[in-house]
Amino acid sequence: MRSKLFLLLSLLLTLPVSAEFLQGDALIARAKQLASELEPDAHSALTGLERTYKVEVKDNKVTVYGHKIWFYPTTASVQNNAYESIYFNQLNEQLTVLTAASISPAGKVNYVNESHQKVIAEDTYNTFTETEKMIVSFPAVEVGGITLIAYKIEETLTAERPFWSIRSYPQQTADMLNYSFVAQWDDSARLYFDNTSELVSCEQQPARVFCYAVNLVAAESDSVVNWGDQLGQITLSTEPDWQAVKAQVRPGFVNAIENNQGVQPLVDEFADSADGKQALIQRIFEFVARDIRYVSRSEAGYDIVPHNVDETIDNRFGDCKDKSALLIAMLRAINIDAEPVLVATKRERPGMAGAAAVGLFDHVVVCFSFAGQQYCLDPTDPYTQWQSTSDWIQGRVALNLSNDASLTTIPRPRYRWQLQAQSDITITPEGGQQELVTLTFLNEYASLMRQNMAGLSQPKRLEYMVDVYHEVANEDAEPVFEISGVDTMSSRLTTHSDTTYEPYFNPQQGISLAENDSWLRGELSSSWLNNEVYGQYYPGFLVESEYKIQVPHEWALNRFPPDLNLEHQYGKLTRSYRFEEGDELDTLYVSTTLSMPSRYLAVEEIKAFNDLLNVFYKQAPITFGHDS
Amino acid sequence: MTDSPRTYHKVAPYRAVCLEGLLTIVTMGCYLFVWFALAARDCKRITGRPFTPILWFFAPVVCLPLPFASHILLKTFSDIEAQRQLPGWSKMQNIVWNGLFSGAYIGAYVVAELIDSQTLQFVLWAVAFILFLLLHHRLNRIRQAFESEPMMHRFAGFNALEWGVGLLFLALWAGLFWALGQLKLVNVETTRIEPGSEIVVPEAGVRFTVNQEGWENVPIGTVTDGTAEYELRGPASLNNMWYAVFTYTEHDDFREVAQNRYATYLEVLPGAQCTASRSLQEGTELLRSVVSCENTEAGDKQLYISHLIEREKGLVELVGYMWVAPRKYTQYKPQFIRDVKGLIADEK
Repeated sequence: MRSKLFLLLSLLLTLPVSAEFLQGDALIARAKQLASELEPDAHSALTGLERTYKVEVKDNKVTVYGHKIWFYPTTASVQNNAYESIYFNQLNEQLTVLTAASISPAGKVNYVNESHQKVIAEDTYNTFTETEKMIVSFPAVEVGGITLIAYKIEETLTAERPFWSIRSYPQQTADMLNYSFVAQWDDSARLYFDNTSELVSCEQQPARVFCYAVNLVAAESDSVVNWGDQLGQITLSTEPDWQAVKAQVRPGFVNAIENNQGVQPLVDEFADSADGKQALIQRIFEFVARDIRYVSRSEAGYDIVPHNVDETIDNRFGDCKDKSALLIAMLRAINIDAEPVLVATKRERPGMAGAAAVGLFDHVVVCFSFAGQQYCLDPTDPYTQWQSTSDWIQGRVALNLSNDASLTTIPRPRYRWQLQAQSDITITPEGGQQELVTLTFLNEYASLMRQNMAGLSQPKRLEYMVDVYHEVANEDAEPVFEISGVDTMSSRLTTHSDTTYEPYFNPQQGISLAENDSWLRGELSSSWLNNEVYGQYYPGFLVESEYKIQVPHEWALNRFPPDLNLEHQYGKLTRSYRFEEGDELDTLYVSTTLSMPSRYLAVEEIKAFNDLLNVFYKQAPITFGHDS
Repeated sequence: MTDSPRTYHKVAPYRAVCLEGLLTIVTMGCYLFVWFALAARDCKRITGRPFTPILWFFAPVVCLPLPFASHILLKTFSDIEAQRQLPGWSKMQNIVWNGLFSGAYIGAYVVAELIDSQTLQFVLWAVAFILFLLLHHRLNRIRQAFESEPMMHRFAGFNALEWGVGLLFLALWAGLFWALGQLKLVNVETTRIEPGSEIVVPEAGVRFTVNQEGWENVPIGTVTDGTAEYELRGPASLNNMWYAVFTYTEHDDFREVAQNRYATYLEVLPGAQCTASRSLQEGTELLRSVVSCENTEAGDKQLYISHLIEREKGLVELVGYMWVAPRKYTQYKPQFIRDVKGLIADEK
């Protein structure tokens, strides 16, 4: 009790008078006051002077007030940051900009008018929200000037949509001198609060919460960051736990799936032509993923509710909810107990999810067990075979709507990228070579390549593969390609290339050759991690490279590639060879396997990981020759 | 009546056993070959039997015919002794002498080739030498019973050729001992390595264990061109066997050095069969390479092995070389290779 009183007293003592939400002249006066208190030359980058949120819930109406004041010390900060983005859901939220203006260093106030405001769709791929973004471009911003904005977002909780949540990140990518978050609610809607930020002090009362922080240093950016997983956050939600979230979302799916008159005829039709249950699952998934085209359909009443399965069948279109409901209905029709699973595609750490909220999720997929194996299918993905997992949901935070489990993650495969490269090379007595290469992209890798080529004409596909060859193997070569597996949803996509190299060395001057094992090296060079601040997941890859190299018998090869057994906790590179002498041609067979399993790498591990990739990269060339 | 040439009946004159022994020792046993040839010549002259002295020269050289040659010689001696009623050896004495002499003589070669015990080898040579002196004493007695004439005039017991050859050998001995003496001076730091000893080379930051007998550390430059950090030489009884530790700077590329070793071994060992492997040092991103090449040349086996270890800065390498007879190769090779592969790099 004493500590709480002390905390409250401390907060009151350090709390600026205007930490509460301000608008109009009061906000302008506050901005000028804060600007006048800035120490000269103390800030060399965009700096937040104040960011305040005030949440009020009264009579089932939720109003979020916010104001932000920014200081622009440099030209770069003006050029890059003199605008404000406000996210809202136009289906059920109303955004009002109350005050928006810039203030020049001389104190002149330039107000934002309607022409400075623009609303754009943020993401049409989302499941539960039609998120819009209002961009406010501040006029007449100068170096040394400030901008300010006050707005409110209103939403009414209804029986159809009784849930609401807000998520605030106190620390952002710019310094913030003052941050406050206050929320209060009446008996019409109980709110649940969670804070994962260590930088913020919070005081919670029965129907009120107040958080405050000063001098928040900008979060360091990095090459690959899921900010939601890295930065502490304040969450306020109407849902007490994840079971309550399920209770909000699940009925919509149940209802949509029940209306399934059109499912059985389709399943019967597919069953006639499918050989076995796996083939039937494949056929059903192909139908939902490919024959039902993706159309965002989160109109009012359907932001978390799928359309009826029959409607989706009739329309032959739907969004992820609609397609998932249809896929579930069809799989259940063949006695597979498939379930909808909510996915947060920008989240990988359940522990950083904060308070339970529907708004955490932006996607839904279908998961089921079959023959002892767990599968998660994304019916919006028309390129990935059903036994693989779409790469953008792997490892993402997920919530199965049909069981009692809490948050989990979508399973990651051991190797997301799998490639088999078979090279058949005949080196001519003159020092040229004929090269036949078969590349087999497997599972998610096949999906990626399929995605890259599906929209291209056949000549363009061939050009694409030639470009890949130039990038990976040899930019001067002119390979002739054949490609198969682009237009199917199989687990393999195969390419064949035939390349002729004119003589590039003189055998009379000695035989000392190095074959780069280019496809293996290509995968290695694309795997370098660049994060310096935050850990990151490495998706894993497996490359199996087989070389058959034929050389004239008279060259009498006696130096062969060293056996490799490079084993490390992060991965393994192994190589062995076999040499067979013939009458006219001798043959060197070289087998190499590179396996780098998926794993989370703490930032301290990334350098060692990259060092290992570098070692593997250097050891990859296949060297052989004749020495005497 | 046929009058044979007078010289046919004259044998080599008496020579004291000690002088004969001295001549044998000085010539490192080579005089033994001449002794057998002269003995056969005298037997031919005395008995008229069809001895071919030049063939008897080779009896101790070739070694294996020695028991048969000795048997013939001893029987001839006995016949002469009986004919001239000279005191001689019994048949049993002949057999015993032949058994002991041939056994010791051939045994010394076998020990040198297979057992590698210098002490036993010395004992066998000594036994053969003493037995030889006994036989010479017997021959002296026979020669004294016949008219003798030296091939050349003798001074102080030896003729001019013997003096010449003896002095030449003495000069060679002197030179050899002088060279050894010089080497001894240089090799003041040479110490023997007990089997199982861990060799620590602080200047290179490595250690390894030598598990075979007969190794000694030698000054740098003894077995390499002087670029090594540390050198060890294998058992002296073998043709050549050594270990050397090399270090490289951080500017030397691991892959290049390992590959150069491979190419170099193929060049210096014609027709070599090689193996090469690379692995990671446990728990690190640093490499190790083992390259070994072996060939057969002039009946002997040669082996080069390199164990290259990458460190945070620079490389360190243990190179082993052996050039030995095939039987020794089979005996020494497995542990020789294991010891090289046991190289451990410490922090330096």
